[in-house]
Amino acid sequence: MTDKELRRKMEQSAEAGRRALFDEYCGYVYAICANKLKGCGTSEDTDECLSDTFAAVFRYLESHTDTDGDLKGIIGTIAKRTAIGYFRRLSQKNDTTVSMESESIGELSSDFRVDESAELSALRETVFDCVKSLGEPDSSIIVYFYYYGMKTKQIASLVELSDTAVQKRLSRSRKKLRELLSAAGITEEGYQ
Amino acid sequence: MRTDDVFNDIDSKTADRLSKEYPVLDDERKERLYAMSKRKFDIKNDNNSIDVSGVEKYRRPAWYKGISIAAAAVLLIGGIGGSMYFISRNGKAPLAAVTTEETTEMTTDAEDTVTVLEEDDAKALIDDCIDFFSVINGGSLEVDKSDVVTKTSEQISGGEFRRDYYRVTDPKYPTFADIEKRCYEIFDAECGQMILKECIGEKDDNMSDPLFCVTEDGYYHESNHHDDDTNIFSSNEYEMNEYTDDSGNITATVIVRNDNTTLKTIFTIVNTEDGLRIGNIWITPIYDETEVSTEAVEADADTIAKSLIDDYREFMCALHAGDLEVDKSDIITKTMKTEDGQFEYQLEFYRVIDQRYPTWADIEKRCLEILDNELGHKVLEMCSDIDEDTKKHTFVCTTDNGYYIEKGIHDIGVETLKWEGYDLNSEFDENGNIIAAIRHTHQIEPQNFTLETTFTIVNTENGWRISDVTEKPVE
Repeated sequence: MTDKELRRKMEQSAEAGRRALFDEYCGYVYAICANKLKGCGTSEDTDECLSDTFAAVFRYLESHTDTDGDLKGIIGTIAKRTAIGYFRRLSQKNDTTVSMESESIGELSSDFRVDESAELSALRETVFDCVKSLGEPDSSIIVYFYYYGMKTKQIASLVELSDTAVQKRLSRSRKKLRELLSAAGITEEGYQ
Repeated sequence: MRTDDVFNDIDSKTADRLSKEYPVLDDERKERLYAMSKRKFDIKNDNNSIDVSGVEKYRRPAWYKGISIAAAAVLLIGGIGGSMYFISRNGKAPLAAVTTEETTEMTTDAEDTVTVLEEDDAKALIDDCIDFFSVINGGSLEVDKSDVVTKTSEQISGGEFRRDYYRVTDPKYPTFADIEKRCYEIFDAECGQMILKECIGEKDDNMSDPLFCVTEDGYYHESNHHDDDTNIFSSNEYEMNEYTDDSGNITATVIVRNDNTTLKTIFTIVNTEDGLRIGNIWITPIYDETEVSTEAVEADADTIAKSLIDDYREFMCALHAGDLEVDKSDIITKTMKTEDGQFEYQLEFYRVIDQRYPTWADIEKRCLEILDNELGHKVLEMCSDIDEDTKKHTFVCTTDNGYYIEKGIHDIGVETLKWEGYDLNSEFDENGNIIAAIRHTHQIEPQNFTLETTFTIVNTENGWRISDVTEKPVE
């Protein structure tokens, strides 16, 4: 659904509009929240973060009915800020060392960091393509593990393999991914 | 920029691709998340502050009535007024452990142990449990108070005790069989059986005070339980914290504060073939607020040690003491060589048909659930196939058709593994490991003898595991 269609729906019925917005972007918001909170939060924390995000989005849109900004940008920024808030609180609680470099303070834009270089964006795209080229189920395993931060037992139930099989595939896929990235000119130091 | 960093703090484009190419939310979860979002939006917070205290304030449905303290006494094993209310299928306290935080890191040995069960499922089950107790113990069951049956029972001190029962007219539970059915939807077989036994009492036991009386034309609910106003869970909120063990069982600790009491309840939730079920409940009234904590109770050394030692015994008896179920008519023969390679000899192997360990991979898996990696792999190497060409002595061989155990190992077995009872002595050492010693006595003609087996148990990233076992005779 396009932004135009979503806005029209919200004008006709606030509730139907919120539902349509949720359906359109819940996967997107979930990816942001899960990625930020992997390693410091539980799946419950991710759910809470997601629902806080959408509650904030609904409130924002209710009070900014004339806004014609890019909905994905607005939602993405709110999601990122909410996730950062959760990350800080959970990291404090867990006494997890947080790297200053790992926190991104996003500005309102269609991307999170106004100064994010095209090179980094291209790097991410290449890495994602390399992951995808591993084929199934290895690419899904890598994505669930590294992007979504899932545990191998959760992944096992999603890909319908045993936990042990997932761990073995993860180990092999990691090596293969390094080779693919190296072939694509990406090393530990970044693009060569 | 390290390659690892591209997996963190993803950009909009990556999030978009993930949501489209690798979606992870099923319809049920989406519905639940939307409901959460809508509820939070409806609450209209003043600001965007987020409570992530780690102890979730869980709001119960407003219609929930709770259960009565007096009614909970029915669930006692032990006297009224005692400090512990315990329902267990095996008489054991729930095994709980300190909550650990686990992180996912890109390491060369990524091993994760966490949960299979959804925590939300645990909450839903606990809500169902409390609702069910309100049905059997409290006043939420619809009854006809004009239709009364009176039963008498003997008191411990002698004399009779009369109890009235109201006829149950609740359309949700038209017969007692519906109560039973609901019970088994929440509790596992053994726990459910215990609860139902409390509901209807023992046959011919004149001293029992059952909650229900079942007759040919219907069933009746005890009037005092029904009319009692004292609810343990009168508050709509409770705090909960969960811990998931290596087997995937969830231990959920729930604190409820009412006007007069604070209760700490520990639920153990297990995954049965029928789905999630509650296997244990441990209810403790809290009199001193300083005792209140939703953190899972730190397990003592004995509890951890006993559980692992029992698992060790069962597993090692399967491998070394003939407890594996085998088909003695399905035999294969292998030609082995002595260490020096000079002589050959024949060994026969039985096919293993044990349902606990259908494949050799199941043996490996179980081994590493009990022993740490180092010890576990040593044990497995001792019995598993080595290179076919070396023909070194093994006592297990695997084929495309299954796996086989050496006949001598199976038929003779190591008797000293088969201890029946033992005295356990365990404690934490300065490194936080558990040193557990057991003494067990065996009768091997012409005399009895006692052995002391000492286990070193370490806390690994996968949970507690045995890392060392030594044995010596005791004079």
